[in-house]
Amino acid sequence: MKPDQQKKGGIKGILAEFYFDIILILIVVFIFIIPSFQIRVLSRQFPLALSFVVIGLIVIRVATTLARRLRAGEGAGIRQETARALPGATLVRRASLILLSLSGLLGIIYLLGMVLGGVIFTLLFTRFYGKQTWLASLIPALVTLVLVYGLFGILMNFQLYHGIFQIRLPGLV
Amino acid sequence: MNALTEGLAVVFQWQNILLIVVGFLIGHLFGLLPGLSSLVAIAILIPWTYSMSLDAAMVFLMAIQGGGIFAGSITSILIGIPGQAVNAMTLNDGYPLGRQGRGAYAIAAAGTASALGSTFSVLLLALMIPFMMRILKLFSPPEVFVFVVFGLFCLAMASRGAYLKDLISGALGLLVSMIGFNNVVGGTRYAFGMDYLWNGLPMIGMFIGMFAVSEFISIAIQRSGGIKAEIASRGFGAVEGIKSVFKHWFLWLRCSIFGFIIGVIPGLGGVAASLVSYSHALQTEKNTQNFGKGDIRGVIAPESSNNAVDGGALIPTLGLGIPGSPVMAILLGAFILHGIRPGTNMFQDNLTTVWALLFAYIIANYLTSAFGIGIAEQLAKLLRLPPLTYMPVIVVVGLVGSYVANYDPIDLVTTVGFGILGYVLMVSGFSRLSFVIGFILGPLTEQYYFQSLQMWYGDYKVFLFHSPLAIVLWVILIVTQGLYWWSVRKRYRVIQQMKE
Repeated sequence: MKPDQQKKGGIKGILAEFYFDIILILIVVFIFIIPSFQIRVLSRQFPLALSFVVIGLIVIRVATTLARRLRAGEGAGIRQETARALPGATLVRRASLILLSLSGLLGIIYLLGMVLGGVIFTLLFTRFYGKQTWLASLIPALVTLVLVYGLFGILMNFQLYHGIFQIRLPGLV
Repeated sequence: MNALTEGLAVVFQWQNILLIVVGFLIGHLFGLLPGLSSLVAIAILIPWTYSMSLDAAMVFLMAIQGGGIFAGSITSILIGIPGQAVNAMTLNDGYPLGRQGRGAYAIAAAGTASALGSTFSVLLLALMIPFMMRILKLFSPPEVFVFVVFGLFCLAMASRGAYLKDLISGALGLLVSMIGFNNVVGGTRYAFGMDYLWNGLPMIGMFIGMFAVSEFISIAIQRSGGIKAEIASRGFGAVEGIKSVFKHWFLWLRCSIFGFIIGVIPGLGGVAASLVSYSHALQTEKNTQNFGKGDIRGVIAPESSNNAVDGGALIPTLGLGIPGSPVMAILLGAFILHGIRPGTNMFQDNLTTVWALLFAYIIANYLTSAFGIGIAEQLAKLLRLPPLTYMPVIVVVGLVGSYVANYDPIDLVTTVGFGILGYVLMVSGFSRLSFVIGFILGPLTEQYYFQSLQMWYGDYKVFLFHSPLAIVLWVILIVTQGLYWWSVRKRYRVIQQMKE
């Protein structure tokens, strides 16, 4: 067994390996199948058929994978490949940090607009998450400024989002 | 003939020449840097083309693609890390040559094979255009519908081991594209009372989320640093490298033809072409004992075929609106965003654009090969840049690009949402690409589905027996799937026997 594989048994193991398949089935049922009965027959025909195809394919995948494992004598034990060999706690911590960073990016864009928000995000992310020096972090921040303000804003004349405080740098539409 | 000269005139306008140069430089840079590829470059740069004419936009995007593929082979040869998946086979013999101090020889051979491979495939496509217009007229809605199904199955076959996951991703992409107003039979679906969803989910946000934001998440979670590997000396022998392609011209020709044919099959792309060509060279060439240790034929074979793919891939992309390779899926999206839906009339109505993008692709390929051969060693040093310094820039630029598509701030949230979905698909072994292709093909597939049913008054047999072509397509689909499963089963038995 590879070092990045953990062995879990029973129901827990099955849930661990097929968690994404289970989520997919739930999404298809609650977002695509149940609401489709509120729309016109002709309009729901194609997506409804597709929904059943997706569920059918997921069921076949889960069944064939389980059957192969059982045939290979691994019992109900399920091999779970964790994301690229990272320990679970590290993965969760980093994933949470990234989600927080992306939410922060959206928040700062909402407040300060795209130019300032983008530059501040690049600077802080490179400095603190990328663990670069302030000087080294300033370079990507400046590149962001040139691309967003210079290229999108000035050269291509796109109307950028200026945030709720309407901070508009000179020359922007 | 008029369209050809008009296409040439378009390409040689100074603004477009400038776009080709900028495009190939961007493609080259993205092809080199880890986590990036010409696919990501095209996805985040489509918004830049909104203010351009259709011809200029396509010239620019095709130049990015032309610049991207060969760049990845430089890192394969000098560092032993393929810049893009399509360059993985080049590593087998390219890297040993680099280690032997014959990097320039291998890079020159790869560059020449790439440039000539793309030229060959474009020439072949050009020769086929008159015939293709006749063949494409045989495709009415039922045949195109079957071809879409065929494409999704081919994509799954190319996944090597994740067949069902790829099919699920493709079907899921189709399903997600159903959100919003239904142009075929009217009415809004799955909008849940939100005005935002009436127009469906934004295609550009989906591209950027799936390819740029998800890569950012992946790299940030891995905390990938700059590549510390030793850069092999470029050495000498560039002229010999160029000559070697002409010396092995028959191998180059065969592999270019393979690349072209694989390109025509929807969804397969350069990775499959490189793999098939390398195996072909290994099986058919004489004195193969040096393959894997630094045989120049092991560089020529994959490089000629992975560049020849794009010429072939343009046939289903432009002729039927079904992407022939991953990059073509994004290019198809770019056409749609510019108000053109490629289809059977594309080679009649927009032939000038077709010629212009073909010429742009060839020019970008020659420029990138010359550039790469000239300063490969300096370019390879770019790999030492830590990805965490440039990925935030890519994400911010990508988000700005997704916003300017509709000027709707909610698109930013959707883009990040697609990025998270892309990452989850990636780590769960599901294909992001199949999802994207399914998403692009969704509206078209439904349209052809209903048009087909209308043709035969609601009889489902229309998909099977509408024409001899429909029957032939089903037969090809069944035979290829049968062969695929037969080979999988055979391989499984061999593995079981080896275990015992």
